[in-house]
Amino acid sequence: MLTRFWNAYWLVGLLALLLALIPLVSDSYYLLSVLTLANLYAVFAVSWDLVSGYIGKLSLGQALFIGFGAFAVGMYHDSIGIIPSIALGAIISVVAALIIGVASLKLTGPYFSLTTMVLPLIFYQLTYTFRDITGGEFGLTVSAGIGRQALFYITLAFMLICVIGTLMLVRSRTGKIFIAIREDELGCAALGNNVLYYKLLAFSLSALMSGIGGGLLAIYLRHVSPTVFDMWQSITILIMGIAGGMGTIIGPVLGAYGLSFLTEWLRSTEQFQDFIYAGLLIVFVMLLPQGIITLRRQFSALRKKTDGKGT
Amino acid sequence: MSFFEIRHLNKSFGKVVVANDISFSIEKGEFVGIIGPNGAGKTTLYHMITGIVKPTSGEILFKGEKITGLPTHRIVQKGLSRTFQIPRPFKELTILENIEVANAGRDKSTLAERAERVLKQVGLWEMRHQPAGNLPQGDLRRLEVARALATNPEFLLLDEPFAGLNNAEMQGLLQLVQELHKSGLTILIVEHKLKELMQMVQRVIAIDFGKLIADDIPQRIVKNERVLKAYMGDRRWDLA
Repeated sequence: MLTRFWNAYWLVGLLALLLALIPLVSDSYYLLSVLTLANLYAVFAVSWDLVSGYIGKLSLGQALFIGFGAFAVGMYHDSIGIIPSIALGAIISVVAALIIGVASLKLTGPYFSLTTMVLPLIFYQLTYTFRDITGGEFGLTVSAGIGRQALFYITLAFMLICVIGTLMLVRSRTGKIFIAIREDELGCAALGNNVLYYKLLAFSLSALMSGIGGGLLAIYLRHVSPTVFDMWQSITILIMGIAGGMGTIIGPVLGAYGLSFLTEWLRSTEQFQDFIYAGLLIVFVMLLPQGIITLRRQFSALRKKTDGKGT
Repeated sequence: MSFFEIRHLNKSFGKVVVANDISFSIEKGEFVGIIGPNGAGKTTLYHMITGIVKPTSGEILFKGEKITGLPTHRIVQKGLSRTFQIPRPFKELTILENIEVANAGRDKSTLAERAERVLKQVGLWEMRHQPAGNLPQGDLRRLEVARALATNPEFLLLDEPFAGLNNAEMQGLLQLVQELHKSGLTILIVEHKLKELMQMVQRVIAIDFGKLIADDIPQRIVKNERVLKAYMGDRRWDLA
């Protein structure tokens, strides 16, 4: 039932290698740009999967931590430097995750998901309220002095570290405890595990990755504005995760790259883009609820069914 | 100081009283059975002991320490584990992984050693890489016991482990439980299959409507008037 992880490691390595070669074979500014963004979304999707797919607590607000990371860079890169500002964003994200987690992860039902959905909206408003420091609707400019190619490789390395690190985590005993929590919290506690601790662990690691990614996003966009907290950001990540395959880590990675390319391809159909996205989500939920990653498994299952007519 | 003690435990859900001034103690190494009609409050008692439900009043002491109201995982870490009436394996994990997830606290042996020991004890070692979701009932019960054992308990609470098993499975589990007791484990067992129960335990506690109505050796329990009265009309009970 679980994806064989050695396959996943090879897949990620291969993907990273292919991506690393692209600037050497292509001059396209545009392609590099799309891929840099895709690298970041791969991390966001993986961080989402850690909480939604593994712990089983659906997160509807990765944008919160992305926003914290982005604004930390936007507001402080001038005064304290780029790397310290990224670190600051990361720390704020983790602390926020711990506070939110302690408050909402103990509750059963949809309260955690609702909380994650509402908080980015609140911060969206707050960036307007405190427009003096956040730049309001105009946002803040970010000038990092990092070239496009360098940024591409930085985000690629970031993606590789996050994905491999997360794969190792979910393969370890801790990852099995995550799955156990998803299936049966009470049963997991009855085996002596502090379930809240593991939930907080997953949530804060998710926040850490999204927070750093948010900082890099601000550098990529050369600008940070309230839209970084937008719900559509969270929904996009969710679609990437679901289409790729929840609870697999590698699925959301594929979902992120796939959807990033699809977005660009659909850019010509501007007005219909949202409909196509929504349509895709519906198609996936109905036909491939476990995501693209299970396609191979589903084909072989289908073949077995038609072969075994005699049984 | 008793190994395990319950003092004046009370629990009501609204107007429904499921535990009515229950008190008893268990010494280290004992093998005690709990019997009672359905709805008598046995499983709720287990829930209170293991921190899943908070009693309305009363105390639960384990090795001299108050464990009333502690979270489940803390109680398990202190050496008190239970199995559930309906097995709850982690279906997406293999048998081995189900065991690996258990936290043994201060157990010094490595994860792998402990898993092997426990799985061999219940006879599931050969199929350890099979997903737990595909197991037949008898094996699921063994897995339940294995998981509880993997937490390295000093006191094991079994909740109707023989329910739904065929004769062969029952004999196997019976033997296992007896071996566990012989190795020094203190065991409390809720069970309806009285023939099997009487073969194992040294002492039986009878509960009816949340009240403790008898606490005696098996031979005397089956002749106890209050116990017999409680089970009149319930055909599942064969006390002969």
